[in-house]
Amino acid sequence: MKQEATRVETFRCNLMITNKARKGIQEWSNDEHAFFKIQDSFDVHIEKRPINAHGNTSLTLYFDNGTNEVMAQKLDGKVAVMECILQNDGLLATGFHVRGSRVPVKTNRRLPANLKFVTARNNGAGMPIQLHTKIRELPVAEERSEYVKKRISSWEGYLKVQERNATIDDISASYSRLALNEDFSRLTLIDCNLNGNEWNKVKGLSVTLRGFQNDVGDVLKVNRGTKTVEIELKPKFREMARRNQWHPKSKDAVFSNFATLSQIRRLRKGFEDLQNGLAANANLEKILFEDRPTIRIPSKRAKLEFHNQLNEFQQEAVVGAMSAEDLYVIQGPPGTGKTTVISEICQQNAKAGLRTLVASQSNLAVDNALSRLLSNKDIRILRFGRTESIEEEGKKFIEENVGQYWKDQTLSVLQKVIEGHSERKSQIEQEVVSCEEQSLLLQQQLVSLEEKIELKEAAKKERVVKIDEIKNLKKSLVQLKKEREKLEGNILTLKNASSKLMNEINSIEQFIQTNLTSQELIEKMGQIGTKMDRTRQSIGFQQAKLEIRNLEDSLTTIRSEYQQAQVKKRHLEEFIYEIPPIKKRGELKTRMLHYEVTPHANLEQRITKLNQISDNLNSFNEWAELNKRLLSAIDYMESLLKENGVQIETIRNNVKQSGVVFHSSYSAKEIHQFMDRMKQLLTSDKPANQIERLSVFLEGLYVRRDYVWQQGRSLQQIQKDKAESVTLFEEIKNELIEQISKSITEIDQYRSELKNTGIIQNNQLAQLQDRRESHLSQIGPVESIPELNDLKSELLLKEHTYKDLQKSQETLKQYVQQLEIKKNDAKYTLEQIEMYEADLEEKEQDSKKVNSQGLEQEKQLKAIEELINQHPEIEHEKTLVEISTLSEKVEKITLEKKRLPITQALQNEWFSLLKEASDYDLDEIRKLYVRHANVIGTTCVASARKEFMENYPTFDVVIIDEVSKATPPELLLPMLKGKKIILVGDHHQLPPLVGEDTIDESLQAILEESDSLEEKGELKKLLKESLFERLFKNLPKSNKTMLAIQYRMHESIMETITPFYEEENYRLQCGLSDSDTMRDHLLESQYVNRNDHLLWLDMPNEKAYFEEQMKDGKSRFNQAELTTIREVLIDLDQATENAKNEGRMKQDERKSIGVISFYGEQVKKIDRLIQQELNLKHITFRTGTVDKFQGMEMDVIVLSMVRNNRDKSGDIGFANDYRRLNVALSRARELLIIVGSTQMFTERAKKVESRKMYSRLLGIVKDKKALRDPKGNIKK
Amino acid sequence: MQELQKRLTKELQQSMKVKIIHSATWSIPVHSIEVEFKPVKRTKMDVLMKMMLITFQKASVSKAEELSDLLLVEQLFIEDLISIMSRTGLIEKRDGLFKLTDRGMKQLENGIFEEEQDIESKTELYSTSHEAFLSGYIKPASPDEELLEIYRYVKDGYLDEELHFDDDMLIEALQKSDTESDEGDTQTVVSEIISTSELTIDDVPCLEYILYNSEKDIVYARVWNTLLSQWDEKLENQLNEKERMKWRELL
Repeated sequence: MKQEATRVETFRCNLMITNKARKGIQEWSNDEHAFFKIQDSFDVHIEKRPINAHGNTSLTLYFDNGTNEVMAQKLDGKVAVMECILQNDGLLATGFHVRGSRVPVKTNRRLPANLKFVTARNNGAGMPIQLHTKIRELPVAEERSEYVKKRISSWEGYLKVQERNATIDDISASYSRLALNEDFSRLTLIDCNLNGNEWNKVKGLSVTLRGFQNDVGDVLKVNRGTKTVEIELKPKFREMARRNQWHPKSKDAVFSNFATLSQIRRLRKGFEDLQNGLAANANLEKILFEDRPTIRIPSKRAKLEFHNQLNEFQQEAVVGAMSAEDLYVIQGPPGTGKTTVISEICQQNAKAGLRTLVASQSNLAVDNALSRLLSNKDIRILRFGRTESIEEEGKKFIEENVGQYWKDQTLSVLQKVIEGHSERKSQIEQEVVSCEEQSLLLQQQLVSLEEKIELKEAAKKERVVKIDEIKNLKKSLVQLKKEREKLEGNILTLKNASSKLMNEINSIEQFIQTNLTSQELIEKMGQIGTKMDRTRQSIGFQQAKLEIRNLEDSLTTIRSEYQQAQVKKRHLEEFIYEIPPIKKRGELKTRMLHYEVTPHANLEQRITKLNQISDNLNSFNEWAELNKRLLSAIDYMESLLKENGVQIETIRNNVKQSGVVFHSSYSAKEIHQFMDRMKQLLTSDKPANQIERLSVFLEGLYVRRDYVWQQGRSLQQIQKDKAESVTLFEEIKNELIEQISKSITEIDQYRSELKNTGIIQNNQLAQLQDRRESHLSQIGPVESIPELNDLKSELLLKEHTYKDLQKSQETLKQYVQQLEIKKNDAKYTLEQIEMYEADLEEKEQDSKKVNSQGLEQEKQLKAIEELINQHPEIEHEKTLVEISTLSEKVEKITLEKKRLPITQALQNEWFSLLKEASDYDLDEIRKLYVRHANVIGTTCVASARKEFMENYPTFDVVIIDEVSKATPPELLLPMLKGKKIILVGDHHQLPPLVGEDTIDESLQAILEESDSLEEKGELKKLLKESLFERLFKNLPKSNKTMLAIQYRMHESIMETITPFYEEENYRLQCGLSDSDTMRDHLLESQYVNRNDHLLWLDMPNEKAYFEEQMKDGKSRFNQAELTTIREVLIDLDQATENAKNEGRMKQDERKSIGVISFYGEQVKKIDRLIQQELNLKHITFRTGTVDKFQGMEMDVIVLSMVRNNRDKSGDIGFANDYRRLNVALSRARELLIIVGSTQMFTERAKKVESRKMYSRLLGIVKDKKALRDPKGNIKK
Repeated sequence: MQELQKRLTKELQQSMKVKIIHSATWSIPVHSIEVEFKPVKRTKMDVLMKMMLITFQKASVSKAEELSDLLLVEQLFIEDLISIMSRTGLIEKRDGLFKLTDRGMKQLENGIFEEEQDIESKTELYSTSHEAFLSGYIKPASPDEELLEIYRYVKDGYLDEELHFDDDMLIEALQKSDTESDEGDTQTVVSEIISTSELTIDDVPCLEYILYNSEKDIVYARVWNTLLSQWDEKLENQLNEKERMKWRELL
């Protein structure tokens, strides 16, 4: 519709024709000129082909067989196709042919244009530049398709899963008997003669029996052992069976998989359509295949009025979905009101005139969604699909029933209106009155609004003034504040000063009080003064005494010295008398010592010289004596040796030659000794070597003689001094006498000095004695006078005391003066403080006044501003509009009033006519309805059925529910049809199922069989993430939302699944305002208390409670759990009866209980149990596998876990998948009872994640104190 | 009767796993009720189009919206039909109001013309055990029929019981028994029920089987209703519900 709405510009374009093209055209017309004149212009769709061998851009023009009406008529509705080459001066047609009417014309690869072809030669039309540009920008269709083909091939894996068993031919077999089951829903072929592996292949195939036109149903189960095939019958054949009309003549059955094959064909067609650009939304291929889906971000958010009560998340979802351009994704965990959202979106679309497709993987989900749409005349729902597979809820919307549905709807509305006919009259009258009142009111409002506008204008002016005033006030307030601060500062300083003064005054006063008065001080000082005088006298006395003693001592010394000097003088005089007769040096010396006379230096020298001379004389005598002995010895020796024949000459020569050796000094003593040794030798009797030795001695003698001689020569000189020494001695004596005489004179002088000193000191002594006496008299009579030192320190002490007193007196004097001054100061300060405080008070008052004035002004300003902020103009406008609307309404009402009798009569007539409407009438209605149906529901795969494609090629909006349950190829089919696509699902619930396995498990199986690396890679990619999950994760925030408030489950039940949604942006919340009341199951029994909403009956992990496996299949069951479930159901039935009897439930009410299990076999056994063994009158049951239960809800759910064993593998099979557990736990509204072994699932399970998952569940159960033993007793 | 019983017994035992644990024959009371009704014959004309023509004739309508409000019908439908009627010259706009053309007047006259038919009467069968009308024919009584006991869940004093059904149920039953017809552009329909009167009460034999499937360990009932000539689900369900436990206990 959108494409049709955007008008395509018309271009004039030169068209040149080759002969080949002309030939093609001439099949339909005389020539090209005539042909292209049949219409003014043509709608064409231009496809760009790869550049041809000559480097030209080649194009194919498809003429629209829908919009080019004249041409279509001429060509019998077929499609004209023209091959062209793009040239600068126009298009060159190189071929023209006509193709079937079904050839696609519009695709996303082609450029729609409206062209006016100019075929005349040398026309000036050329090639419009805009068209040329657009063609240049157009991608080459083939390349784009090739790209999409490549990307979509990654989905092949999904088709492979379905194709696994599908490529087999029909299988025929005969049978001997057939048996129907208890409710005619299943047929068993007995003694079926299928061959070998055919037994495995027929499962799931559709069955045709000879004698029946159509297939009777699908194969449900085969048993090779008993040679039986069980078939699920189609409803039509169930009826036949009831009438006992099964009497086929020959007993042959044909098994075929055409249903699966045709489904795969449709899915493949979807791939092709996407490749060929036939998606209603050209962007779809990018959304699906690019890692980051390229999406047009909505430019603005729609503003909506909602028809349903929606929570914030639902509103977000609806607004988001309505605003989105291409795609919107909604994640809806269990019970979060997905269907409400879908319903609201459908309604919004209907209001906006848009047509919506509601698609889902299963019929059940489609019917479920449709049945919850509000009945509203704007919404016309149509259910498309095979009637037999549509559930009860959807049946009224199938084409053959919509006439009836419409009739029922319209009749019920009509009836209501007719019932209100009588009221309507008075209602209208009332309305007229109220309209008049309203009109009056509006007029008044208008006047008051006009006043308000004036007021507003005035207020604007006033505002300026007020603002100014406020500013001024603020200014003066600030000023006042400053002044106040200053005053406060002053006061503070003054107060400080004052307190300081007071302190000072206090301390002075204290001082005066504690200290002596001035008078007392003077007295004390006088006393001390007297004492000091006395001490001083004592000191004088003591000093005088001391001095006298010293003087007396000194006098004594002088006297003795005087006597000594006299003695000495006499001695010296005696010596002088003795000196002249002394002849010898020694004597003189002795006398000098005797008289203690020390010679002067000069004299001393002379004495020394004299001593030397006499020494030298003595030594010469000695050496002369030695010489004599030597010479005699030499003579002796020489003669001795001569006697012995020794050459003396030789010895003498030796001595000369070695003169140096012998040239040494000897002492006299040594020489004497030498000669003594020789003498000894000579006297001994050893003549043997005597001669030789004697020679040596002689040599020695010679040497010594020489030395003696040498000495002798030097001493010869001294002989001459001998005379001189006598004179010297005389001189010395004279000199000595002189010296002594001098000394005597000196002594005389000293003596007279001493005499004088003595006289002076005697005088002094006399004076001192006087002084002492005078002091003594001063002191008066005392026992003893203390020692001098004591007196001195006493005086020092007294002087200090005196000084201190003196100081105190001065201080006192000063203080007295100061005190007066300070007191004055203090008084002055206090006065000042008072003054300032008064000032401050005044200022504070002023401030308050100004402040309140300011507040008042601001209040006024606010009022003014409020006035200004009001928009009476807008109100005024609005009121004007209201008035005109009202007058229109009045007009309408008046008209209605006038017509009322007719109207009511007509409505009555219409009611009776419609009530009696015949099939024919309804058929007409049906046609109208179908033509205008705006919400169409169907399954994904059915949306690709041929008749549906023809009736509904595209939709404005396609909503796909339960997306996670469908495979991408399935989803693609409805997606191809939507201009906008809304996906609703939950990837935390179960993925698509293939037979009994999930798509993941099936893909895994193919993956394991596959030996192509490339294929393996692709399969792994498919396994990693579902399409929905990828889209949900990668889309921008504006294009997705999660519904996070659930309304189904009691809060406690919800808690079991919240962990599965932890990674999402929002935490799953419970929307029930009070779970306990709103989800009260009203039951009280052995197993269940009123406040229990979640229970786990823990089956022991012991042999008696173990699972069992069917002999002929992989399915399992658990007898112990069945027994427990039986007890629980009987208990619940009884509890329901009690609830009825006690008035909590109505008598005809029944509790709805779902009993579900992970295993089909267990479900079958539960079914049998309920049907055959229990006759429970207060309960309605629904049973099924967890997988089948997805999307359903019940008041109470009993979940049978089945797995319980001690196998080493610890396999828990189906129960491993968290999504399955999520579905299982989230079906119950009021009460969930889990029956299974906690040990099996939380400890024995092989996979760590599984153990974790079940432990968490057990944790929640334990938290609620909801763990029970199989008898329902509380377990810890 | 015995032949029927034999045939049914055989068919029920097709599967080796199924055993008949009990069988019985009894009858249910079926009331024959004579209904008098009046059929009418009328031209086929789409009821909405007819109503619109009537409205255009009687009221002044200027817009599709007004008509939509009046008839409480989707505006789109109204617009659709207005355009058809305008195109086929049934209506035109005069002074801003939709008015019927001569052709339209004629068409309407034809449309509302009803040819009343003679009162007809027909006998319908009502079963109190089903609380519904049953479609079938009472067959001639078989020799041992009078020996049959009455169905054990029929209330005592059923012969004097008042029956509870309304006209709608009757019309539905009549429609099912082909009283209405459709020929060319005319049709005959039941317009009203004139009277009903009870004629007789017949005993319709039924054959009861209680079966046990040993493979599935299930017990279930089969009841062949000779009036309907089919297995009667309603009666089977009654027996299943009321007696299944008892039969299981007897196994």
